Amino acid sequence: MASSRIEALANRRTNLADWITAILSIFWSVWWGFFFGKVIEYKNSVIIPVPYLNPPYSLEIPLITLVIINLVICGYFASSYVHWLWNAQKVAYRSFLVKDLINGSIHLWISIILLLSSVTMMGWAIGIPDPMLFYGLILTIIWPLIVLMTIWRG
Amino acid sequence: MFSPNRKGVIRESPYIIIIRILILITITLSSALFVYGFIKRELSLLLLVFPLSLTSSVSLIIYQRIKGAYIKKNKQKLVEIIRNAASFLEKKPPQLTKYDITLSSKTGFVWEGVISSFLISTAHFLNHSRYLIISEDHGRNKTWSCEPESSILIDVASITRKMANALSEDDTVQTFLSIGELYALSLQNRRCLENKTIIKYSDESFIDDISKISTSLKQRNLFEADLFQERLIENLKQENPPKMTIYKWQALIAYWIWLRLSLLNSIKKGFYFAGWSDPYSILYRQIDAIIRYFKNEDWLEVSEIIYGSFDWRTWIPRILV
Repeated sequence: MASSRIEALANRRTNLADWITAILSIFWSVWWGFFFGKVIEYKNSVIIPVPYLNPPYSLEIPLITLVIINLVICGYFASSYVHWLWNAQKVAYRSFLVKDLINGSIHLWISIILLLSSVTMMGWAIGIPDPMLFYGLILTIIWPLIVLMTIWRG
Repeated sequence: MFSPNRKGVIRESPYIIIIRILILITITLSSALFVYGFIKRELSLLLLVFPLSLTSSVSLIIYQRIKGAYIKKNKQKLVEIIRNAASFLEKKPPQLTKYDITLSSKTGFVWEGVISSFLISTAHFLNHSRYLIISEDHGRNKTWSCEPESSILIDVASITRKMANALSEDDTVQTFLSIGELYALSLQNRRCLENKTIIKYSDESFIDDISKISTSLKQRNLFEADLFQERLIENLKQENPPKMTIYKWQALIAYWIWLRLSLLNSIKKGFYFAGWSDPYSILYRQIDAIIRYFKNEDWLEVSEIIYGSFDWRTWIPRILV
């Protein structure tokens, strides 16, 4: 009896986490569409000033290089998020390995930092307005947090 | 004579510590650089995040590989120590060779461990027993009688076989019941020898508590099982551990080893809450220490190890769910 109640609760929480992932991905995809639209419109190379060197130096990176790096990072983020979600959902069933969850969370954290850096760099370099940039960044950060809260207390 | 391997567990590679530090430093640095670069709007600082994050990601993958191999080695080491214990017990006393030990080899190292813990708790009992314990319903009720030792092996061997069968079918509850039956036999044998109850927390209550835990687990009443288990430990603590009978100690140690092995077995099912630690090396050290102290009759040390680690008791229901 007790185990079936626990299972029902776990099912509820994992379903909620799946739905939240699906709904948040709509907002994220829309934002991503706007962001990438701006990137494609931008035809020039990206100039990154390095003021700490003597003499000051400016690094010129072709846009296509940045786009490829960004896509690789997006792939890493997607992969680590899915792995992390998989492990996090096991929390609801009390059948997870903390080792996997910690390692997965570290991978997710690294991928988020990489993604945010990459998006911020491109956003600033091609002149995307700050509010639009912040919207995407905040959405990326709060996404795993909301999912985690749902699994924990949903 | 059985002697735990004094060389200890496989040592953790120094590379693991270096890689762990590297991961922590690179993650902290890349996070700090991102925040600082974001606040100062410095693109060059954000660019530095890339190599740092890449380093931490690759280091983490290497760390997982090395750590996995290390845990695997310690698992093999643990299997070795349990096999040594089993072979020692097979040789002494001679009667033990009649047990159907071969059944254990079919069921993996955990089952071998459970059977060896079962043998640890019976070895002394069989060596010194003068009476046969006959119980109806294999010891779960209290109708006992003391008889000469002529057919003592029959009952114990049948429980062993029943336990081995339960183990091979992954029936944890029945395994636990069989071990409980053995406790009952051990304790009743002691009572037959001395013909008196020595201690405050009587053997009957001890058997009764273990039976209640078993029954609750069998009925999947996890809350109640947890309560009974808590009561068992509390009662044992109040009894002044060093003065407990040797049979109760054996029973408790067998129960403890069984519990630990069940936890290890649960790793396969993904229930283990070990984090980055290595459960095999912890168990190895604990079994090693318990057996040493047990041989020296240093009950205070034994009780500290057992009671100190019984906080995990609430995990039993989780394993069985």
